[in-house]
Amino acid sequence: MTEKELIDRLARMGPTDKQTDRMLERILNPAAKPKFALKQSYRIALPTIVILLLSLYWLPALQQKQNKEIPQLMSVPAPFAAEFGLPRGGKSIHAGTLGKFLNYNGSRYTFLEDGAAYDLSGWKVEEQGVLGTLQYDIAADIQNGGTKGYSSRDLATTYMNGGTIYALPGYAPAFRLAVSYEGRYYIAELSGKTDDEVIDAKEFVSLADLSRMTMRIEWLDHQGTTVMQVWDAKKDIRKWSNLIAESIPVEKLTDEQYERLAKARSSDRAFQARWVLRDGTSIVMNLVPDLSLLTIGNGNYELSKTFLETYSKEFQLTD
Amino acid sequence: MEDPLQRTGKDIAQIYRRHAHTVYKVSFMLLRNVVDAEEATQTAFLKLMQSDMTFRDNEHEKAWLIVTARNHCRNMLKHWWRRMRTTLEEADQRLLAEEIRHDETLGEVLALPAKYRLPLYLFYYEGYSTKEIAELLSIKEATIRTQLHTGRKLLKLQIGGEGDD
Repeated sequence: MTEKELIDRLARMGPTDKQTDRMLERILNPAAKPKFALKQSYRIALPTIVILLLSLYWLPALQQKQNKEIPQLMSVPAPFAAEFGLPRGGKSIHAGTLGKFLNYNGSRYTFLEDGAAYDLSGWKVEEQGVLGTLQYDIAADIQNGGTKGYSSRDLATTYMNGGTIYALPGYAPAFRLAVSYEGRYYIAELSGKTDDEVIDAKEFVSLADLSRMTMRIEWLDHQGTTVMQVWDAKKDIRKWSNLIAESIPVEKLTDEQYERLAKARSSDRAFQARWVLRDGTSIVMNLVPDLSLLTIGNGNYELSKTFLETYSKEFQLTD
Repeated sequence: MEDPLQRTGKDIAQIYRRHAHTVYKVSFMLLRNVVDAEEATQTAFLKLMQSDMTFRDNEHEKAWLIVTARNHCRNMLKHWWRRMRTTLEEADQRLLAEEIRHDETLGEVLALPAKYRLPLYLFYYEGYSTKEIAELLSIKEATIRTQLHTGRKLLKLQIGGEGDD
């Protein structure tokens, strides 16, 4: 290899223009929820998959018996185009700028696993009766200046426009819905209100049935890559659920809070609590104890003093 | 240089345009992974946003970003999860590599042990002298020279030695 060849090879290392733009966007909007491109979703999905495999190996027989009552929600491999975030469901997808969500009955639901399809064969979803058809394209409306107000309209969506909404057996429709589109099923989970009001934390904990459905709670760094603590005893899960339910909705963060939030993230003072559910899915909440801040879905909440006192030891883990 | 306390998004974007490629390449040399290199690059610039650091000139600014990215990459490499995840992500990485059309022959450089990769990159691509690299990485200059020598040997690089600096 000559010096010129070496330099040529190093020059080809990247980043591409696309990468450069993507990174800049994330730098300038650090508080924004990361877009779930393939890489990002893998970062989240892989730890979950490995931890699930490990837990399946270790779970005691008794717990397995209990789990039989809760059906497993398994995402299925998507076709190549779908994996790479290429448009499915016509022009409704506006990948890269909008999350994948739908509006139904005054609530906003975010598609699980960044819109991955789920194997719901045998669930008899169609027998539950149709709840509605997704028919208003939010992305298209926003591109036209949002004049039609689809972002707050029921049956509007950024994903799978034309899909049919069904109740998901075993779940409150106010918490999770099934969407059928071209023979595949997708699951959407409550993340907010269509008028951007924050969901009551107690209501969310209750709708998600967190005390019963949670197999364990994992405490992770803010990127969700390192598990620092795990709670899997029933009493601990119940305690967590009760304390999270006490959180108070915060309508809007102040500029100072946003600044402190950015600082907390960059100095490893922000964390994730991942509720690993018995159905194979999980719910991630972001916590910034220094600001007493919690996020559930799209909403921000103030953590209760009791919560902060109870888990103050865990908050020092990275010090 | 601009007042660090008043760095706006526009200022950061300008700095980013100046140094993003260098910071990304440094990160990629260390992490050999597109996803992590992007994350390390973003983190370096986010730390810049949070920093009160005042820079003498663009070179000083670039050096600060290189050191910050390198430190962050080292922290990332320490995480047990990343070490475990690397194998699992190999297939994914192949797809990503295709996506951004990385040259396959780059693998030869990336296959070198970590301690040789960054000095080689800084020396040949960025044009830093061994003395400058030693200061940047807080390593003795003699060690940098040895690392460059060994790195070249491993790459069977048909070029001159330490006298190049």
